[in-house]
Amino acid sequence: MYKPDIIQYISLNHYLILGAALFAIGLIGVMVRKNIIIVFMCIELMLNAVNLILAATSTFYSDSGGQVMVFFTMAVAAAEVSVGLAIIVMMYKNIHSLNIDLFNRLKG
Amino acid sequence: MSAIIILTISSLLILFFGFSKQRGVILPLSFIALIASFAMLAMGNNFWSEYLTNMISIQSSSKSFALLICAIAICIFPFFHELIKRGNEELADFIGIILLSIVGAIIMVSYQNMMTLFLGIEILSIAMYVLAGANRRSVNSNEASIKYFILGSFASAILLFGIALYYAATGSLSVINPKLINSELYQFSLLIIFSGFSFKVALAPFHFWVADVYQGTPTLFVTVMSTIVKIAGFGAFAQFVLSQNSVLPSWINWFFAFIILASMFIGNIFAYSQSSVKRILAFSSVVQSGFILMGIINLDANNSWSLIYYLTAYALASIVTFIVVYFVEEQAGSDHLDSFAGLSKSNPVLAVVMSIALISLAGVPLTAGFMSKLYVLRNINSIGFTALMVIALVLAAVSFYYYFKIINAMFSPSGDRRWSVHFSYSAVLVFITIAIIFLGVMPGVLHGFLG
Repeated sequence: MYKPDIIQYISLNHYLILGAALFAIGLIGVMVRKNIIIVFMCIELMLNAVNLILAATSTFYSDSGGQVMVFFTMAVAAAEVSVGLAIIVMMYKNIHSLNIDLFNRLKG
Repeated sequence: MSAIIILTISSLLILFFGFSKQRGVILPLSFIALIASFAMLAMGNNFWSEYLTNMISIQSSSKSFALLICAIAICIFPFFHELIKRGNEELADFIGIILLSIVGAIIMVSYQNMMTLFLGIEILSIAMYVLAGANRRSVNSNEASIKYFILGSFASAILLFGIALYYAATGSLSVINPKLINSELYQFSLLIIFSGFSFKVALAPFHFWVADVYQGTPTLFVTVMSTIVKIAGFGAFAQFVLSQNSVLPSWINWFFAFIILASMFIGNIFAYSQSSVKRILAFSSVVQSGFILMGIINLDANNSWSLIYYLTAYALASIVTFIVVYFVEEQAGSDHLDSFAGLSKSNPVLAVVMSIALISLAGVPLTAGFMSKLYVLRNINSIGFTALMVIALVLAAVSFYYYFKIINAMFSPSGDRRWSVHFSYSAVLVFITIAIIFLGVMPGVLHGFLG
């Protein structure tokens, strides 16, 4: 498999750290944001951070498995979006808001 | 593999029958598909044992998990006849989605590669997000669906991050014979992957979604969530531990012990004060997950028996409890403890099967729950975690309180409702209850069947 020069100059650790940083941004976003659409985007950010790690690792080891996995992740993310947006539309029809803090009816 | 193909084709056919006018064939077709896939798995006359360039392999332990998933699905399916009440279009959608989720579950327990693991988890989870929101007009169902969706995809992302780090640490996505290139990174990836798995099966520090989701989801689908999803989750967990056995670091047992203790304490404490039966059962499932994890400590190809037996016992009891809650909720309008008052007088069959299922969950002798707890406790005692075993025994005794709270409510004399349940449903429930007692008295039968 073709191995570009750039992977020799910038070591794998840099890609891992960049991916982990993006992942952490997404993770914090899911925890602190109130708007469901933003939360949704943060989950996508987490998945794409993982895609970055997978693609970099795959190039580094000259193993095509990681790049195939990136395609699978994208396809699965698209499926998740389609179901997720349907759920959000259903939510909006019932409570006329996108704020997840309004969902506090279920408690013991 | 033939089971996966049969289930996929039949679920697509069922979605098609939903459009056309032949809606009477949906339930029989799905039932035949399940029995056929069970038979294909049991006979095991596959042309190859490995598929898709070694990404799926249905062999010894994954075959037992796949058989268990199909058997439990066959036990649940008769009750989906109740969905006919909700209209034919929804019947086709729900049955199709559930069959697809079983496909995901079988892929999850038979993966040999992280790619198939991720695909299986997502096929199962996305189907479950839809089922959680099945009551479109109920805000509770919406809330359950949103919470399950956000937290579930969050957990998938964490698992995927663990998979990417595992890939970076071993240089391959295959889980068989990993070569450690970077040992620290590998250990860190294990921590993240196990957290992701714990989330999917609702183990303690990651259990916070389970009560809300169980309470809001329509009860028939909670039955699927608490049995098939849990078996598939633990199956995937066990497959991963089995394949990594040679390179697992020694601290991993302490990590498991921490999760077990946390699950048992938190589940028991929160179940104590609940008044909704579905929430009590949700927290009890957190405690049961802790027990099931005991079967995964020190797992190797020869002692996966205690794990499979526990999952069977738990799933059978769980079907009975949630189906009875469904019938009570249907006629009393709520799953509050008060709705169960007087059940023993108005419908003694339901009260008796529910009591037997609950005492099996609690672990009273002569039921499958007792023997399964015995096996997993023996398993952790054999590797020297005696203190953990003693604490688990004490906490199992504490859990009697909330199981008997439900039984007490059912046998209290108040209430004069008349609950009728169709004879065939009662017959299936009685059959499952007999299976619980039978497995408790003669556990060797299951062992012989699964080889």
